[in-house]
Amino acid sequence: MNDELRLRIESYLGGEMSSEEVVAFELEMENDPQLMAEVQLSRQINLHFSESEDPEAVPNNSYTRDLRSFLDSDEAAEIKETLRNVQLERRVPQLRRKRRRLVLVSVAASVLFLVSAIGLLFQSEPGTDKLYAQYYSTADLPSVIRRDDNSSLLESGVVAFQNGDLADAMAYFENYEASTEEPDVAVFLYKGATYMEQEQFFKAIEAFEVVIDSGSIDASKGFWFKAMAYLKAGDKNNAIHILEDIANHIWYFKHDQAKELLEKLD
Amino acid sequence: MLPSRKNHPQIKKLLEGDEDTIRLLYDTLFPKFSSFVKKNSGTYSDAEETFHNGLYQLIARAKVSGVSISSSFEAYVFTVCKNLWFKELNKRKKEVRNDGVFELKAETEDQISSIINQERWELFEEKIQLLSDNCSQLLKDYFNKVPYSEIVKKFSYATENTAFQRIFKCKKKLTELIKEDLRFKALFGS
Repeated sequence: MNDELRLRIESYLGGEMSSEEVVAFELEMENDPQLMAEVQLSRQINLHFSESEDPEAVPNNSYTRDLRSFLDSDEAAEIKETLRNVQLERRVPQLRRKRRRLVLVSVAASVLFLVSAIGLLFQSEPGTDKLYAQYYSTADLPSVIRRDDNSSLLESGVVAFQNGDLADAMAYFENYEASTEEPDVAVFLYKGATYMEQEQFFKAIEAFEVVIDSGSIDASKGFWFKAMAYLKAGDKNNAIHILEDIANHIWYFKHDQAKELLEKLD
Repeated sequence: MLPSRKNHPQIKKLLEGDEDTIRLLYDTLFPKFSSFVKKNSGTYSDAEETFHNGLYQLIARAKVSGVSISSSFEAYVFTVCKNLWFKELNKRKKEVRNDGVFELKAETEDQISSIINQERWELFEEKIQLLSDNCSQLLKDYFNKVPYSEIVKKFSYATENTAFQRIFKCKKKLTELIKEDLRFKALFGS
């Protein structure tokens, strides 16, 4: 195709032709399928850059016929049903999921307690303490912005936490949580961090689970801090399990550090 | 016929109807996608429907021609669903929904249209990556209606005509790259 014809296509698509030229060009297209195809492709490229699309421009060829044949098959109907079933299963009311999760957390915590106790007895996994010290930082906890009257309780808790007054900090966090209908998810990160400092790992993990379930922008931080809790408890296997999850999701908080840490834990 | 491609391992699992892979996507990716849809004029139900359709179309493509992925699996599924949601938003603006006895037929055709559009999108994006940075940015600015006067200034061209010539050459190059690809015939030819 020569450049002159390409220029005419651009002129046609850009609406720069006179009405007579448009009629003549469309007649030419009707008689020349190759020209028609060029115009369609050119239009699609333009639409792509303007982030739009032409819903009618679907070809009728062997590929679309194969797609149609599959989409109308029993096999496709079965796949669709499987997808719907999983979708419904994952739509279980949050309360039920939370209760179930609490049971699971209790079981996990018991196991963790045993593992930690055994860890203390046998002084296993000495490296996890060092790695925890290297990777855990309170600077990763979110900053707290005053939004309403109750937020001052949260802020006071954060100040107490930063000063190392852990019991006071926990009292502020509990008060804030009790007096706020929709508490800022940050409070659960701080509660978890406080419990972690107090070596109450069961409670720490429970708090981080709430963060993970929150669906908030900080949700993925819950995974990182949960991994830190396991690391501090000396439970290398569970720490690795969570770090692998973080490493598999590029948008998760501390994705790169999780990969680095996994290599060191190997 | 589209040239056959080797399926990504996770997509192979989807094709086998592996429920654990689907569950994992619902547990890890869906919350992020749902939040994206809600921020872009949609509801939780819209997110559920789009996510379901995205997975279903991916499986159909995997079955008929194979799907190979250069990015991460999750990032790829997210992009497919994101494009599908933008398509739905455009459709809502432009079309009146079909219903009643034609619903089943319309649904299959709609799925095919979405699959073809997604594959074209991938083909175009892949070929734009092969252009020079200058060319791809120039085309983006031009089609986003940046005035010629600004393009001339931004790219240090002597005149608006020079800018036009450059845009013309860049689009010609992109058109050639697309037409040379083996997927072109299946996605555009009759």
